[in-house]
Amino acid sequence: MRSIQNRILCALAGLFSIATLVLLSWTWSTTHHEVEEVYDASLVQFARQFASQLTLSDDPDTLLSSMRASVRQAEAAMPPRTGSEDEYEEGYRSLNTYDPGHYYEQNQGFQVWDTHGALLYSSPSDLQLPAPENAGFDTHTTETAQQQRSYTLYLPRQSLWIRASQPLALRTEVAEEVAEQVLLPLAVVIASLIVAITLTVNLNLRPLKKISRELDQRNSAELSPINSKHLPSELQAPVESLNRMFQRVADTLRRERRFTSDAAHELRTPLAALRIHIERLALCDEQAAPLSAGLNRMERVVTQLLMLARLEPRKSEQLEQQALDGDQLAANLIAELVPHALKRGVQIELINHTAQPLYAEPTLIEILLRNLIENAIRYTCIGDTIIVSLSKEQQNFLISVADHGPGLNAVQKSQVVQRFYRQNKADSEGAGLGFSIIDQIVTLHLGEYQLQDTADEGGLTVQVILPQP
Amino acid sequence: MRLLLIEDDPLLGQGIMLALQARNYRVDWQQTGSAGLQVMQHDSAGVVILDLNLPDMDGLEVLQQARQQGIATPVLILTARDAIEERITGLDKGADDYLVKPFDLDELEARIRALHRRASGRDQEYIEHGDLTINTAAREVKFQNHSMTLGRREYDLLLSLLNAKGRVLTRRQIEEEIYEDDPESNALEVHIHALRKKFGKSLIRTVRGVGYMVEN
Repeated sequence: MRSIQNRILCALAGLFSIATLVLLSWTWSTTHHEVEEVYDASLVQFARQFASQLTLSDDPDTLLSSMRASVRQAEAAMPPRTGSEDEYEEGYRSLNTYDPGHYYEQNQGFQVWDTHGALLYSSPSDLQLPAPENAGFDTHTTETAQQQRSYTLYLPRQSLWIRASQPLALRTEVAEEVAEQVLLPLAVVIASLIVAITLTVNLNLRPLKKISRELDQRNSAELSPINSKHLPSELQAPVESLNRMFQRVADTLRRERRFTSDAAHELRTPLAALRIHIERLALCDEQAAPLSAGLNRMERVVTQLLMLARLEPRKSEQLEQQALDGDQLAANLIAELVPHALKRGVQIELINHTAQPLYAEPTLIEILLRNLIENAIRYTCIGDTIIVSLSKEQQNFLISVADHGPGLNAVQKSQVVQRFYRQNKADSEGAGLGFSIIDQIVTLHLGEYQLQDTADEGGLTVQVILPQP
Repeated sequence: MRLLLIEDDPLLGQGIMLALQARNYRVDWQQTGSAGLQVMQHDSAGVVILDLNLPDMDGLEVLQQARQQGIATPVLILTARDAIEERITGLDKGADDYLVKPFDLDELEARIRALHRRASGRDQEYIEHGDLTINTAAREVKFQNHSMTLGRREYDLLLSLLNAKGRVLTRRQIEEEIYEDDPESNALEVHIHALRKKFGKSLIRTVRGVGYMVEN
């Protein structure tokens, strides 16, 4: 169970249950104890009162016989002790207008025994208890019913045992009733406490849920700190740690970007110097050619790495797309690349099938086209004509660059998109990053690109599909 | 022509200076922005080659101050940073052209020539290309030592292509330069055809869909 809320609720529910049980058993035992004391005391009191009556009487035998008569009379007048307490009392009242009586009165028992073990008086008359042997409290189990609690005292002058008794169950019943009275309000209180605690926990965990929602909605590049101002103090510490981590990650990213930009500068200046010196050298020494080729390759790697470094933090939402004259853009770029291509004996043609504008970010499209065409120049064969064509199909703008060189087989097609893969290892100028750059730019524009075999003559055709608004 | 080179990197500065001197330019090389600015104030160079990353002040700052002081010498910026942003800020601050490191010596010289030509408002007096000679002052064209007669547009077109020798001029560029008073004209192909007829097919290369060029 991972939820804090559930843990708190379960722990509290457990604790409440234990507390309730403890409280109930404690209530029950103290109540039972107190009830016992009170009842025992009343037993003593009854016995004494009864004894004092006998002691004061001149003729206890006559008194006892008249008492027996009155018990019989009273018992005859009593309604049967069935049904509820209220029914009994109502029945009683209707029979004895001047003495309404009580349901529990018959629980009270009195007996008078002589020293020979003869029962002289018993109320109620069917109370079955053994003959007393000692004074004091005793507990008996009778045949008919419940256990009885009794108090016995001895009158030495009259040689009589006086005994007051009560069923034991009475006490348990009272204790139970008290406990029941406690149980209901307790249950209500506990139930409402649990509801209240659930709500409170929920309410107080809300900031945590808000933070997790906020973090969920972030994309991977968003590293701004979470506002911790209005958070409870317990959450501020972890959120601040999180913010510090964001800060560190953002710093690392910034340093990385900064590094590529610095590296650009620090690499390009010495490269430029080298190039100038090598070109001067090449004017008088043909052996400088391999130097120049090595330099070309280095320049290209640096340029492409920097392009990639610039592209990678970009996001589709941040593109600055605008309507472009694709024909013009391609023509200018091809014009720039043709002299280079001609040196390799390669020609470039532009075929434009559309007058529709191209919605895209101009600098990225330029980089894309440049990479496509430079790749084609590099990998086609001497004497080839590279065909760049632009067209519009439904909602897509299509750019394709076709050469008629050796082309790529299926395995190579899947390999070229990997970074630093070069189709021709012996080639001295490729950096193996061209397709990574193409892939990045196409993805940024939510488009796709396909590597196909050039129709009819063979070779490689790269087709870029850019969805248009 | 006299050039002012403001470049702090000793290796690159020396390389550019020696290479350009070998091509008959006089080069004044300064290694700080302030020294460069001082030279610009007192001495007029044909073209200033300005590196952006200087030890004492930013190259763009040098450019801005020079322009504020009314120095109109054409400035070619050398930058090692990414081209696109530099181009925009550089051109905004009054640069005439930019070149991203590393660059070809030929490219550098071509830019210098173009800037100088643009600034002085006149073309080279004599242009030679193979068997073709043009006296721009007299608008005379000679091919294999024979004087040729060219129409005005034909002459302008030939001159543009020769001035841009080794580079492709797009149709749009040519149309803006030569047919600006008659934008609807479809005469470009006609004139190209005429020039080829007079000077041979190989003089002008067609880059289909893009434009035309005269190869080196």
